[in-house]
Amino acid sequence: MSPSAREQAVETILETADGSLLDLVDNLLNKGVVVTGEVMLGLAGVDLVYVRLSALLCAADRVFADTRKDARP
Amino acid sequence: MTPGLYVYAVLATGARADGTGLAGEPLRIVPCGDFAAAVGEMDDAPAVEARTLRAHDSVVRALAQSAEAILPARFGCVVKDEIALRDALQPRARELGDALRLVRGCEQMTVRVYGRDAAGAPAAEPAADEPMTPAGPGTDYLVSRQRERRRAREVPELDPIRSALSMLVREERAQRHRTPPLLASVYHLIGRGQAAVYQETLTRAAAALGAVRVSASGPWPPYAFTPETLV
Amino acid sequence: MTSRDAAAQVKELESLRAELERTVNSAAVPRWNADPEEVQRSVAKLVLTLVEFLRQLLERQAIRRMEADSLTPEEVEAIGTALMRLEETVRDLGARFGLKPEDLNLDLGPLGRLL
Repeated sequence: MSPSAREQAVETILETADGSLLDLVDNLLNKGVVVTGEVMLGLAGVDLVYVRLSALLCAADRVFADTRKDARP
Repeated sequence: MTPGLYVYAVLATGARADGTGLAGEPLRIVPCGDFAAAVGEMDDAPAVEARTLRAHDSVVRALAQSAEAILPARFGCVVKDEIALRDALQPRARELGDALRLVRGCEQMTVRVYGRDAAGAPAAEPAADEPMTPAGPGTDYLVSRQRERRRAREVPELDPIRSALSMLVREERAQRHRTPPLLASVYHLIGRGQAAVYQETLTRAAAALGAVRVSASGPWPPYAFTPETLV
Repeated sequence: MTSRDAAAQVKELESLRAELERTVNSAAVPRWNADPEEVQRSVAKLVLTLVEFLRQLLERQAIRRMEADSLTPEEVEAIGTALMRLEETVRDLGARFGLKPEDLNLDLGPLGRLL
C-alpha cells in the first residue's frame, strides 16, 4: 500500500470514527514495537527510491560501553 | 516470491500462538533470542480500515490471553523474513526485555483529560527547587530542553486524584496535546482484571478534579508501554 | 444526560479526532518528493530536515546521558552549546528558503515520531 493511499485511508477512518475506534487508531497506528523504518524518495511526484532503515541508529554508549574512556586522553 | 511476515507482538520465550491472524493466516512463533515474536505470513501490510484495525486488536488480545507478558506491535508491521525480524529486534534486546518485565500480568487503561488550557503552558522559568546552574549558556540550554521534554509528558491536572489511583497504577505514560479541549492522554498500566475497580475509583475520585473532565477506556493490551523509538 | 453534556462530549471527541489526525498523518507519510518547480527549496528542506532529525537524536541522547550522570559538566556545557548553535543554524538557513521549523519534519514512518 502506498503511503498516500495509507494516508487517505487513515483520514477516512478518522472522519467517520466513534470514540472506541479513535482509541484503536491511537493505539495501533501511533504506538507499538517498531521493527523497521522506511522512507520513499521521489522526484516530481514519482516515487523512485525506497529506503529501508534497519536499526542502524543506536546510542553510542550502548554499543561502545567504554566510549567515555576512549574519548579521553 | 516468498511472503513476508506480519508482526503482531513480541512475547516472552515459550509463548504460544494458536489461532489465526487478521487475514485468516495461521499464527506462529519466531524465537528471537531472549524473546519471541508472534507472526503470520502475509505478502503486504493490509489496508488501514476500521475492520483491519479491529482485527489486529483482536489477534493481539487473543495472544494476550495465553501470554503473561505481551508487547503489541504497531499496525502494519511487515518484515521480509525471520532473519530480518531478528536483525531488527536483537539490537533492542535490553529495551524489549525491560518492557516485557514491566507489562507482565498487566493491561492498559487509557484516560483522556479534557478541560480549558490553564492559562497557557506552565511558566518556562525554572522552578524554585531547580536553581539555574551557574555553568554556562550551553548547560542552561540543555537543561531547559530537558525540562521542556519532561513537561510534555507531565499531566499535573491529574494530581488531585493520583493518590486514589496509586494503589492500582503500576506505571504511567502520558502525552500532552495541542488540541483543546483535549489536554492530554494518560496511559495507566494496571494489573489484569482490575479495570472495573479502576473505572469505579476514577469516577469516584474525578469529583475532585473541578473543571477538568476525564474519561477512561479499556482494558487494552499494553500498547503504550512498548518501546516506541530506537533511542 | 443533558444536551449541554452531549454537546461537550461531541466537542471532546472532535478534539481527540483532530489530535489523532495530526499525529497519525505526520507519522504516516514517510516521503520526500522533489518538486521540479522548486528544486532548491525541496533540497534545502530535505537536507535541513535530516540535519534537524540528527540534531534531535543527539539532543535526546545528550539529555539521557546527562540524566544518567555519565557526562562531565564541561561535556554538558560543550554539547549544549553545540546543539544550541546547530538549532540556530538550521533555523536561519531554513528561513532563507522560507521554511518554518514545523516544515522540517520528514517523518520516518514506523520508526516512530522522531521529531
